[in-house]
Amino acid sequence: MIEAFLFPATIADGLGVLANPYVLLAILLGTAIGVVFGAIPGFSATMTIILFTPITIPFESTTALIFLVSAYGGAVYGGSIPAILINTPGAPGSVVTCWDGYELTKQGRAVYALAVSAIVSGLAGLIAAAFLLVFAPPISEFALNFGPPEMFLLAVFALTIIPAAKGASLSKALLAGLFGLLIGTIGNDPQLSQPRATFGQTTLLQGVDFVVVLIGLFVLAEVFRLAHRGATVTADENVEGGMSEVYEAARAVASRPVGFLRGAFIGTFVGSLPGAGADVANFVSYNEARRWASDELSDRFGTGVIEGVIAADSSNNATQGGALIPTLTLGIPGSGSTAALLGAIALHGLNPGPGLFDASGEIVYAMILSLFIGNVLILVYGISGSRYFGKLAYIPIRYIIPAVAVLAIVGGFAVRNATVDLYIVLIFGLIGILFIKYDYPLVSLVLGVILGDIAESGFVTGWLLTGESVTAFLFNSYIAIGLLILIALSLIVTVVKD
Amino acid sequence: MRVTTPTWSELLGTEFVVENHPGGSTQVGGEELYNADADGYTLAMWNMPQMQATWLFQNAPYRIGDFDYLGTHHWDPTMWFAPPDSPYDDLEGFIEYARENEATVGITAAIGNTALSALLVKETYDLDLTIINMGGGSGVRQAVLADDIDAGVNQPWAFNPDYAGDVTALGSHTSEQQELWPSAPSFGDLGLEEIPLVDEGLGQWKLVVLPGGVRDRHPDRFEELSETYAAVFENDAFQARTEEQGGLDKIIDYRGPDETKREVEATAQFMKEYADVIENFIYDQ
Repeated sequence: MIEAFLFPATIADGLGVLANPYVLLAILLGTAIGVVFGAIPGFSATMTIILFTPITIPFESTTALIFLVSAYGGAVYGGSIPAILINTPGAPGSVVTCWDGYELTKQGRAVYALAVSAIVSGLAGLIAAAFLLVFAPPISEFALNFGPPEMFLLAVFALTIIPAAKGASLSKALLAGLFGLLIGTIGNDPQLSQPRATFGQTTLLQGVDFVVVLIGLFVLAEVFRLAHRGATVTADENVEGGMSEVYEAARAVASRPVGFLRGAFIGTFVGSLPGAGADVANFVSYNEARRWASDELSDRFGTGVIEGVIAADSSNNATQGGALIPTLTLGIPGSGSTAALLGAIALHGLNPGPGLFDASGEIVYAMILSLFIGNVLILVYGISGSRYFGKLAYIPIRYIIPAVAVLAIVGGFAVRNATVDLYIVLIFGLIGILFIKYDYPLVSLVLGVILGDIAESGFVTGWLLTGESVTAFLFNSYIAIGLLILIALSLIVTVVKD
Repeated sequence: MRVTTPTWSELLGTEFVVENHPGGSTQVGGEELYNADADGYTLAMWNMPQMQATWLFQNAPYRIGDFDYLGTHHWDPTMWFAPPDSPYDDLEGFIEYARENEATVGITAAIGNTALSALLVKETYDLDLTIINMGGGSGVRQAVLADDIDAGVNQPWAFNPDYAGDVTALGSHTSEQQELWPSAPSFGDLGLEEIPLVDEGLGQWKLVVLPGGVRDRHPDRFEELSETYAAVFENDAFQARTEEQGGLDKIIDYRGPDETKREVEATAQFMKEYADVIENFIYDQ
């Protein structure tokens, strides 16, 4: 159906486009703007693209689209900065980064964690871009095999990560995850568009936005914890925060190639699946890193091990290249961000789908090649900036608490410009405090909310497609069988470890 | 909207801020418009018949009279697609197949034109169809390409005519062949006029709507908006942009305020007429 499209002549044309100084400026600016906006809690890559799309209308199409693609990549990386510094994921794809990244900050190793994050984000982005350039058609074809039953099983597989989350008790983690799934059912049901538990709030027809949940659970709850603890950093404040930490970060990544490559490949592949983005990829990647680690190391995940940061941040940035594969070749968005980008691509006169590479090969290759420059810039911005970002961890909490609280409220409102979301932020802030007090893992709840929609849509649609037969549903394809085996293994390992 | 605003902005001499309010099968955006000030500074591009479906099936608080209508933008007919290796190559063949076999049909939403088309075909020929909401146009497209369903209902422009060689176009819910997907017969061509709404044509309109009261309270603003919006369709830059949008130029269909209101009323009328078909589907499920 889709012919291979690796045409050296067209790639050369694409490189010619990148030689334009305005295009290079678009990549420089787009990446920088993306990093800044991605670092604002609640401001996801999707929102960054939506915000800047109208601004790009007057610009020439190629420059505009390359600017948006660069902003997208920058925003995915930017989300990890506040995750590491203040336990606040700037974007949904950075939730897992908090687990070990923030622990390192508390130990006075913020610069080290930030530098590792920048290195693996940039390098994984480069790997995913190379995949996009070479393997887009076969991956697109394969991703089409992930129908609704397979997407449901993928969501269940991701949910089996819940009990493993930060060594929480199996029962508490499962309860928290189920509560998350329950929250995920708010809104119009995916099959019949009938409202459920919306309490007369029109905004809730769309469901509870998990970015708002994230802000409430992580940001507000952390503000209270900070107030209780009295400082962000609990270790000796004289810890080296200069270039030595950056060099150590580079050595840490270089000495763990398997963990880094595993995360990059998981990110690229999960990103290419329609509906599963960075938020799902980094949970899966973290879980796999933990599963493959030695028992001793596995038990220390969540306490500030660098393998956790590598797993999380190598996967989330790789989803960008992965998600662009079905977007460009099939016109099917792989994530919320690429759905927004799809609109921008169409707005600028391109027609995403099988004919795109024939009709607009030069522009598309320029976009793909710009990912390479954008990810090199993430390395440059991230590594050079980490020494300065890290100092934020030492800002007195009397400044941090009001600033972060304001960001949380503004970010929560900015998601949908809806007043009801402010109440949701507050409610989940309180829920977060209760969860922390009684030792229920916050991440389990978040994962339940994120996966709720994917799991429910996949289940209902898959159930109907397979004639309402359990066996047909579960054994729909070899992929489904493979996922079932992974789910079984995941549960067995969790129960044994528990 | 984003295709239209650059030209409209020039003609009107003011900037547009485009906000996206997805969700609730257009009801979230609909209520946003319903609650906006009727000062001529807020307008929306809305899908029809999803608009009517929100108050017929979802208890939206607004009705036809709560809005002023500036004009239509384009009309994308409802069309049926099938995976490329299907044992049928038009809707007539699909109907024969569905009489002998259980068949699955994917639709883009539970309460819009694609659902109505699928349900009308099912009822007219008393077929044992499993109708599944694939959650949007890209869901239907993916399911057709992956051979997950026996047929999918979408619109030709939304499906993307670049796929013309990769999928089977079974037919459009119209009496005349549509221009965008030349290989696709119309239901009329296939002699399937017994299916309701073939003569009228069942499709999805995009139209520009204002909060109710602008026309009465600010007639000068309404007039200016109306004239400049009409002028957009004559503009060369706009036309060039629509040609670049995968054949959007072929389905552009501008009608003025009064004719648009009549179209909205006619659509509301037939949606009401067939409301029980959709309601039964929802309750059966």
